[in-house]
Amino acid sequence: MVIYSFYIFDRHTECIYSKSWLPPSVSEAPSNPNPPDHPRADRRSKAARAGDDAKLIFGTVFSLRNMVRKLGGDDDAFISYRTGQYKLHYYETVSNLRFVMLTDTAAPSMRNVLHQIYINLWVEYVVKNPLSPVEHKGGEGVKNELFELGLDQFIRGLM
Amino acid sequence: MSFEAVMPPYNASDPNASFVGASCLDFLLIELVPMAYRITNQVDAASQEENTTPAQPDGQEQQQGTSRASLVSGSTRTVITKMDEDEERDAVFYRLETLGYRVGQGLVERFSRDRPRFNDTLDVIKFLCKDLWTLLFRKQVDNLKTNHRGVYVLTDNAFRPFSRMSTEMGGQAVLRAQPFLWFPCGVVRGALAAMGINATVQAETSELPGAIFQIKTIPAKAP
Repeated sequence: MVIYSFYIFDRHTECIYSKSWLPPSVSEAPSNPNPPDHPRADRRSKAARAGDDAKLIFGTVFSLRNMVRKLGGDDDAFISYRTGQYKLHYYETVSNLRFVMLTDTAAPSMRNVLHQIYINLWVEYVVKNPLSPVEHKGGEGVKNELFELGLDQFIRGLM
Repeated sequence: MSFEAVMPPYNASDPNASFVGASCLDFLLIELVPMAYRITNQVDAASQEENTTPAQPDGQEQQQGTSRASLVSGSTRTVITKMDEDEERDAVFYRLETLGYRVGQGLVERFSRDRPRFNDTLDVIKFLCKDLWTLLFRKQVDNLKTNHRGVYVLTDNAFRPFSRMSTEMGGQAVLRAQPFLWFPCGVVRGALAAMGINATVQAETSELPGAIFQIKTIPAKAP
């Protein structure tokens, strides 16, 4: 299983954390013989592209979630979708945080993984971190060392 | 996290023992420090206003459209400036330390009631390092040093309030962690006072999540 990237959106729909586990060479070389794994590997600068990715992903999950609720009732939730290139996993907390993870198409459900990230890393190292603010405007306080370390270890342990 | 196994200081023979959510206490302790800063700044702002208003010459009050410059010169004549960083630090320290002092006193009354009298200061310090520390921080102090002349140094290599504390690289975590030691300092001093030892308590950290508490007993009032 390969995990491509991971995003957290807060309840103000802002992307407060994003991380990619793609080796830079893969995402930046469209001439790569294998089709680029990343869904949107275009030619613009990396930072701008990451920001755009986050916005696109939020738009997608937001619309999908609403559509699913409309069709299936308020209790229905969408869990993942798959394209030819990647699989997107979605987990929404009761507190309106949204966790999104992109993996390869063969990956099993990552709902549990996202839930684990939420309870074991987010709650422990961001919410219970005395040096982290309550609102994470611009991602403030999320990118702290313990959270980053824990997340990286956890994800690498899965791959 | 909550739902953890019950830790040793709980014993069935204590009918008044009850449980409280650890997270609840964590969040309360986290909020304590910013609250102390807020109150201190509010009090300061209020006292500033109080001091500056009578100093405003009445002539200037009447003309609402007076230029800003004259108003400024009016207020600069009274030499009240916003408190600087050190003053703020001291005020916040005092506030948190006093709060902790009261809590420490209460804790000792509650948890030493079934114990025999302590023979000497070291007994008291041991009670603090083992029993009280476990109650407060769910572990014992890792290292206790003393010069046998009234100075005790308590080293906790994994101080619980610091266990989840971190910032981004270069976020001055150690510096920003310092205020979170002041309430525990007060708790320690209050606990010691309740057991008849007057002391000054200072705490510092050089690397998270460790913390070092230095207790200097004041000999004249030692038991």
